[in-house]
Amino acid sequence: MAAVACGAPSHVGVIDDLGRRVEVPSRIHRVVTLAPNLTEMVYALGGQKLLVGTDDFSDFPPEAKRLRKVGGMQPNVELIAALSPDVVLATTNGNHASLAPSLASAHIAMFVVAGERLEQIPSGLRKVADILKLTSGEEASSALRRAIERQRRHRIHPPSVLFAVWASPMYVAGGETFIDDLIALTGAKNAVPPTMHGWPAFSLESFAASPPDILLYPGASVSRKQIDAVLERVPHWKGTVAAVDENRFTRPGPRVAQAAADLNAILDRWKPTP
Amino acid sequence: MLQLDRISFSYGGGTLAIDGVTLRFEPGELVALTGPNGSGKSTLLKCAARVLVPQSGSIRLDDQESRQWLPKAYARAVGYLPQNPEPVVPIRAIDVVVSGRAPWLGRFSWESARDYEEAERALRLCDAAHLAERYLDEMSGGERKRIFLARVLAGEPRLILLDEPLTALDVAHVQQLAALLRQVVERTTATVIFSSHELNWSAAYADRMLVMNRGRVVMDGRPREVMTPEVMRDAFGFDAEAVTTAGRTWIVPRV
Amino acid sequence: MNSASDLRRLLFLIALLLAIVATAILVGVTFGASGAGLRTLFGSDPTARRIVMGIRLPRVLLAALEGAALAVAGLTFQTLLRNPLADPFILGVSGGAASGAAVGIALGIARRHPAAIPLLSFAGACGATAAVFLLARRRRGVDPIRLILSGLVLNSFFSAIILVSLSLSPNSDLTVAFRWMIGNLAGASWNDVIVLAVSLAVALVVLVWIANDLRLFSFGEEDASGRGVAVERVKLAGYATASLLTGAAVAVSGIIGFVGLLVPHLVRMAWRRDYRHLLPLSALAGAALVVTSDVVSRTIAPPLELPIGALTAFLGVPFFLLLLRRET
Repeated sequence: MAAVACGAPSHVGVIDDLGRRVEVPSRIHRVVTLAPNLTEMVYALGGQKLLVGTDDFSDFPPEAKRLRKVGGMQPNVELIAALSPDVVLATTNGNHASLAPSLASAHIAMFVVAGERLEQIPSGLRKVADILKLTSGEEASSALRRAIERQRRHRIHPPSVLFAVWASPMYVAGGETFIDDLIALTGAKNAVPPTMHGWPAFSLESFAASPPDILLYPGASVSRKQIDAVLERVPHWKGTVAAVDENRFTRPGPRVAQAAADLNAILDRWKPTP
Repeated sequence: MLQLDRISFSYGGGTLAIDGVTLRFEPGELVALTGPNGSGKSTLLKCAARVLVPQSGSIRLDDQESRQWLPKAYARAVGYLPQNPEPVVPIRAIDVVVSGRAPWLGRFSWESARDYEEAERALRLCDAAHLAERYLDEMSGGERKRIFLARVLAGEPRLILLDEPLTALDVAHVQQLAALLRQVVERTTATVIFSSHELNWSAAYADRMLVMNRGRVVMDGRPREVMTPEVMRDAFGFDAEAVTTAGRTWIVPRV
Repeated sequence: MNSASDLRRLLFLIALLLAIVATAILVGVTFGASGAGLRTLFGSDPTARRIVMGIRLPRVLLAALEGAALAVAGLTFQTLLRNPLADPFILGVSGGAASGAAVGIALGIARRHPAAIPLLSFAGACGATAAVFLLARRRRGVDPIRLILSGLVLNSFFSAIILVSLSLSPNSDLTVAFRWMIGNLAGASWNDVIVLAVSLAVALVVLVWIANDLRLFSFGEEDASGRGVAVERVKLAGYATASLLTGAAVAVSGIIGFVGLLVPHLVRMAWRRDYRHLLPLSALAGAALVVTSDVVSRTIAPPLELPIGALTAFLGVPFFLLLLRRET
């Protein structure tokens, strides 16, 4: 590859998951991540020395809490720039994308990594490694792929699973999400009709019409009380309710294989009612 | 100077608000335009002011078709005052009057000292020089009418069209303003056409009276020819008596 | 004599406002979440330089242009409609602009042709202006209360369009719709500054061109026509320009409300003169107001930034209610 001869360090053009062409410095020393799954990826790749800042939600591994924070839903551009990163890693979340022009004005590259589907997670890990010039990418990515594959099950009586990210109104994981992929991987079926994509609102009427065998909810942001308050309104429903580790299940990061294992454990305990 | 030839106008294709009117005005005339509500007085004035364009007929100013005049040139010759112009934001009297100079200004020019002199002259003529720095919303109805008349005069028009300048005034102010119109004609030799429901005052000061009914001019003559019980009954629809005192004829409704 | 003293006063006010805008810009560039000050600009720290030149300066300039554009749009709407309550936000024109942009994002046009977004915003603003105008129009001018009611209805309609199109668009969520609906300068870039600066320059050329006609609208269209104004042509140019300003302003920052209402009135409180005076004064006062609001919004609780639209609403709503009371 012929390096362009100029005063500044040379850059390479890469295409990110929004299809944008991003000029990233060929040597990376400082990285800011804007989402916890990306922070976890950088740690999983052994690239934590490069991390100079993360978003407010990045709390895993626990050391990540000590990194400089640049804001939550709407990261602060100026705080990011103050860390003078060589590259900012972001997700397809629209708020991140809207920061790109502003960061570009400060000559800071932003690379967007998609994490909507399960298969994007190992390949995302690979992309992050390539951007950061970490050699562990191929190995980590195929290890994760194998770990995910180890959780594949085939069940004769596949239970239907509803994953509610919020109780009232009930927002659920619909088709074409990595949760939907996890449910399929573990041999269950999503209670949400396949025509409902993304994270739609799910009415109690739909709940009664296609009652799930198992209702899952993220244990940190939704309480059992909130779930019970909703279930009181469908008294005939007799399914299983289980809280899951919020961060494993809502972050499309390297711990997704553990989420699949958690899900398998729940599904294995379930017995079809005769 | 102004010639209307068989002009007709209708709003949105409905009934004719002006129905084939032919009129001719000479310099230095004070003309009262009367008629019941909805008879077409305002519409006629708007057509003459080029605010509305009649669907048929021709309007000629100085023997030139009004539509062929440049808008600004026409506005310099013809000063039009709509009924009840109301500003929405507070504005000083002098600013109102000097805005009458607008047709004389270039696209980017501001009023010069001469424009202000004209405005002040017009204010003096209307006996309103002391109101110059006051805001319009702090004034009485009579004071406001004089400011707006001064505004028209500041534009030095040769033809002045006033839509109901005497309405909403008490008797003393009606008389003052009617006398003022007379003065304007005499001092500036402009032609003044004003619409009014004040028949007696109009007759007392005007040289010529027009009576409109349903879009047509039904009477055109000297005040003494118009001020008869017959015209009142036929054109205005009320029973009246003509009373003559001190050489003037007054119309009094019969009770 | 009268004209000379008026002009002197106008020039004095322009100079005063310019000084305020310059100060606000300087303060805005000096303070921010990272603590990098203006002094660092003259130092050798490249990061601080990047923050000041690459992030704060475009943002502060965008705030200034935004304020000028919205204030001038508001003033022009107020003049054309002869209604002191008119404002691009209240009329629903900002909402139209934002839904134009949102539809563009939902259809994926934004990603392929980013330059199309200001055009779609402009189209949305024009559509909304036409709709407001048709809804509120009466035989004798435009009824103020009808105008406010139709603006209210249009705003709900446009909010629905924004929510629906952004919910349906890929890789997006409601927080993005929220950004459009409440106004936000956090994503300011030099490109945005250029788009808005060019639009404002074009608009000002047109408005200066018709300023001598527009000021005659203060006593109604018939009166203006009687003064030799080509009313229909001036109206078309005026509405199109106010829509262009609103469209460009919304395209780069979402809906920032009430600036167009607030600023012309504040200016009139200080100097009651016609459109030719109010045009430069409103532009500068609008710039000063939005730059100041932006500085407050990002320094009041760092690193959190309050949406600037929320701040202008805090200022604007009580003022609007006061005006509405006086109107009715």
